[in-house]
Amino acid sequence: MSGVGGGTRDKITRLQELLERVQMRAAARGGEHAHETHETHETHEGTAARTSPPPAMYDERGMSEAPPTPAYDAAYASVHPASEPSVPPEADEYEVEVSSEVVEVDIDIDEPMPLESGAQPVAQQTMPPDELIEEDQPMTREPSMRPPAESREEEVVHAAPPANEIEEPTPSSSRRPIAGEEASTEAYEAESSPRHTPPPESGKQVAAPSAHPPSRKPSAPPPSLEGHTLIGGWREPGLGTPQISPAAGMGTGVRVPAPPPSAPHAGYGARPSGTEPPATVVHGAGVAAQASGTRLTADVTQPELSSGANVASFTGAPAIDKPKTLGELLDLTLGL
Amino acid sequence: MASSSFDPTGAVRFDLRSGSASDSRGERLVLVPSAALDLLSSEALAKIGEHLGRECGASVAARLGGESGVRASDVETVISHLAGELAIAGIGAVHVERWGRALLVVVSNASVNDDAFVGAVLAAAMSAASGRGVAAAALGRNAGEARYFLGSAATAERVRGLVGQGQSYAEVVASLQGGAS
Repeated sequence: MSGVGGGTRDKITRLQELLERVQMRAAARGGEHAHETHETHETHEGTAARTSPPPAMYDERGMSEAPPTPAYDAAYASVHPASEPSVPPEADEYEVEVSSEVVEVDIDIDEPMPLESGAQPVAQQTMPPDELIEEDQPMTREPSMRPPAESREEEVVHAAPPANEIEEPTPSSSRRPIAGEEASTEAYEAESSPRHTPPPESGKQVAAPSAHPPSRKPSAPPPSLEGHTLIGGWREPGLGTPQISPAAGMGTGVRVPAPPPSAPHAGYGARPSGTEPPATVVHGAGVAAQASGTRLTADVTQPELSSGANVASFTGAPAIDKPKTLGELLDLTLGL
Repeated sequence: MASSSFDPTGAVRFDLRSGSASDSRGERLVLVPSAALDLLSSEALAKIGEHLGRECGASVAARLGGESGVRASDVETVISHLAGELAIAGIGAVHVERWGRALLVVVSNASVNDDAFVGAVLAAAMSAASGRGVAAAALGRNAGEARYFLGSAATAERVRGLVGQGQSYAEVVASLQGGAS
């Protein structure tokens, strides 16, 4: 418990640092916003309060900062109803950001940690602060839902719960036994193989729309995949995290071994999705291996023939004249 | 009752007092050296041989009960009597071969090595004994033995043609079997 508490404190301190950085960046941006739409600040105070972290993250991701539409506000309000009361209407934009984030994050982190194994804090400690910032991406992803891309909508559907990103690492390691119980052996093998497909939890973190657009084009995993975990690791474009079924979606921080240079996409053969051309190459190679592996042997069947068979049969006898008297003999010879 | 075996007793009688030679029936005989016959032509020899053979055949028939008795007798009996008569006449040793349906007479140690003479003797003897017209045709000589075909005159003429073509007696006899109807 002490280790868990210490990890929580570290995370809190990091979050506080993050907030400070967000505030600083927001302050830098605040001047610009103040010049542009001073009136709109008043009308959209609630909206700005809800999306307090995103402005900073938008800057990092290079996302558009277009003000949310009323429809989006309504949808966001339905998803995050608790965040609204905490924002006073007259409060400053930056104050709202700090209050809403600090309260919710601390609560979410402390609850699941004691329930999970003690090995999780170790995994959290290994994560650099930058990755912790990436864990906040779901919050910044919500504005990114605004582009009408279908793939983005799917991700939103699967990542619908309020993005308490900080608690994600914990369920990722805690779901291992659950997945082992539910999923079949094949599914487990398919997932344990280096498919480079992130689990649902990690998919939230990594799925930055701008970084990896949902293109269907094939791509190879980065060469520096050695030692990277699936959480926050390389994600195959075209395979969004929501595509992983919940049963097989074992959010595990499985370390991905270095892909062999000869068959980097060997894991795709287990689950053909039809979206990656390299899979076709792998299939072709598999067929060739089967063809060369199977040997054709002739099944020889020889007939059994007996050499002593009485094939020819004779009936009757040639007419041999054997005369008894001289008269008969003379008749024969005179008859020639 | 005709005897199955040939009995040469009394076949030639010499009367030294009268200086005559005769057969069993009293017919006179002339003992002629065989070399004297070689001076004769084939046609003459054929006539002498035909006469000689008819006398031998007639003796067989006398012994075997006539021509019908000869035909009714078995081959061995007839050949034994015939060979006996030819032996007393000094023609040579005679025996018979039957090749299928063909009757061949083999003459060895012949006194006169002329086929016309021997053939005439054999044909005349068989004809006189059995009462059926039989012709003879020489098939060749082999190791001191001369073979003669006995049959119809037409077939004998055919054999002479085949032998003239150089065929062996076996080939001729074989060809005769195929042409038989």
